[in-house]
Amino acid sequence: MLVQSLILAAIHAMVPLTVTATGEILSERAGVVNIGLEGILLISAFTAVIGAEAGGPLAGLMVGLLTGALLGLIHGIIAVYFRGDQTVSGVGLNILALGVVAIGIVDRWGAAGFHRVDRAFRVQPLSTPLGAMSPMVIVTILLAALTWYLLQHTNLGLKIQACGENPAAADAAGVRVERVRMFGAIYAGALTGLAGAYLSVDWLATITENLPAGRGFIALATVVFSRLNPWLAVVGGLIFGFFDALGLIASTSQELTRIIPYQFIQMMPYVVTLLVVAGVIGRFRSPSASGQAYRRE
Amino acid sequence: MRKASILLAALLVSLLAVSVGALAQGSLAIVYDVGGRGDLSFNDMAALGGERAVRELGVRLTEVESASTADFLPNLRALARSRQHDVIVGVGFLIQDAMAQVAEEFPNQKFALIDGFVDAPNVMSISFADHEGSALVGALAAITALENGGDTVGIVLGIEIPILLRFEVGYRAGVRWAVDRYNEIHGTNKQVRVLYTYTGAFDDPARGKTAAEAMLGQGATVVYQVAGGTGLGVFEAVESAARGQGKVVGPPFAIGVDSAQDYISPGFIAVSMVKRVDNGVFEAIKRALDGTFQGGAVTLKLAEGGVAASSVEMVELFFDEAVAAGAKTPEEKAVAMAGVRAAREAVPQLAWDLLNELDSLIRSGEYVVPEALDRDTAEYWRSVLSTY
Repeated sequence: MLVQSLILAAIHAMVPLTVTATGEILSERAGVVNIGLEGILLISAFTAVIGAEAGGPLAGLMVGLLTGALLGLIHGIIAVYFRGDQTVSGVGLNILALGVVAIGIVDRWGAAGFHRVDRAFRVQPLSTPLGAMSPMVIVTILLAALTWYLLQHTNLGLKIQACGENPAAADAAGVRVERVRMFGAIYAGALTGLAGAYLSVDWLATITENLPAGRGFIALATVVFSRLNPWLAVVGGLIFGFFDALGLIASTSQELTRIIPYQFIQMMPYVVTLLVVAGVIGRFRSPSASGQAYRRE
Repeated sequence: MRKASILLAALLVSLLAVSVGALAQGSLAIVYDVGGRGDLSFNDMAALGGERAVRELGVRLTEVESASTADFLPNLRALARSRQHDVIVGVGFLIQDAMAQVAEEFPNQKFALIDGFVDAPNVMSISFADHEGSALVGALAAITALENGGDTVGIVLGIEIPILLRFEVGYRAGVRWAVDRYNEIHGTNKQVRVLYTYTGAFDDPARGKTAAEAMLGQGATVVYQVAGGTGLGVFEAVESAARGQGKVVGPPFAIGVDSAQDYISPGFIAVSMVKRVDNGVFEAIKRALDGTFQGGAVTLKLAEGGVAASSVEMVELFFDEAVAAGAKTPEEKAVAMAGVRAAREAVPQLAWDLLNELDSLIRSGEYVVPEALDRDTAEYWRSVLSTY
């Protein structure tokens, strides 16, 4: 039973990490880095609940996606057209989210801190041999496949990589660098928004003042782990999700905690994160111009 | 804008009150936690306490809402500066820092803090005997498991801080007492194991859900959440597990904490361990008026009305407040109340009986709930109270 709980928990924990990381992979390939993913997750989770309560779970997911796309657009305009500092803009998103959602919950539902999403407005799970599973698990795999194909096998994918590696050369070759980078920023925002909606109208059926609780940052670690390959983002999401769940699940077992102190077990996800990020990536080189504004000569 | 106007109105009311204050018997001011009235939690309970003080003590009541935590300081200051209030009550631990500062600025003003601690001679810091309340719900959990053919209950906690050890050990004590009593009644030799985990977070529903799912997977019939926002994930796990089996009411059940949370997941929350904030507020103004007010920490015990197992009436009362405040609609109330009632009916009668029996024993002092505020004591009680 514990093993089954563990597998299901790891798969569900993977979804927000992998979906967010997949979007960010494309954006970083194009040259725009967004460390405001945590903030986008939170704001989208909030708006998704409003959308779901107005038009059902699918509307909730779409509203989350569009909210994320809009926030990605804002980040993109700052990074691409105003050539602003991408780190500052990302941090700004994270801070903005904490304020907006805390006030938004009070304003919308009259209760401080949280709101639970009624069953009628949430995504219904699928029945699988393993147990109830969110359909978003399949969507996650499809998104990783789509993004991989887009990057590796399309003309747009080539342009994206050119803009991240050498925007000046891409520009000289006739690629509209700004537009391609804007596409990346919006794509990352949209996928992160979808992941945020998954948190609130699917997985947890709740909105709180800090619902992602750091998952936007773990997604950034997943991006590093993935070496900007969407398939590895699936693997990374599973690894992080697995160890996070392992600590919690092992700590509920009296048999296990008798042998190993639970504090040690709960430390493991962090140790693994460090090991994975420090060890596995090795000498990976990120795109030369990633995170830098492009200024036409 | 709406919040701002409420705030303004509240301040105006308090200014108006200054002119007629001399006529009243006494004056109580309440500064609500962020969210204000209609939160179905601490604020609404504090309001009930204030209303009771108006009714029974004839005091004048001034209520102030705060749009954000940044408003605590100016609101407390404005009230203290008016010198009209016998005691100013702050609701919730978020207000703690602001109150510490204002209490120092106005040493002659009496303050009371609900569920927090300020070390000042003019601040009464009110906490609640949560180990006694946890024992009550532990008894209910154990019997609910046994009567449904189970032998496991769970408790999901937040960060491992001393106050949470107190909840855990209290819960275990209630489980143990009820199992012993059950065996005595039925002449059996049943056992109930307690699964527990400290999730390390008060704001991560995902961790609460994962932990509770693991407990349910190991056969837990009831899971008690003592984890703030993390606990919302416990409710979600329990409801999803039950619904997955086609049920519209538990078991499995969750148990709520702090306020009457039964409405959050109607049908799947058996009971809640309630801190009686209303009685805390009432106690503060009563003591300020009869001269027994003293600064320092005050723990309101079960026998003093400090903690209680939630009741249908309690949940309904809050919903009436929330409907009046416009935070909930009458339809929402009807749906939630039906679920709350259904959950209670699905809990075995013996579980309620033993909860009530333990309640009287704790009140009379015949049963003393062990209290642990450090790891070694907690570890000691874990082994002593275990039936395994």
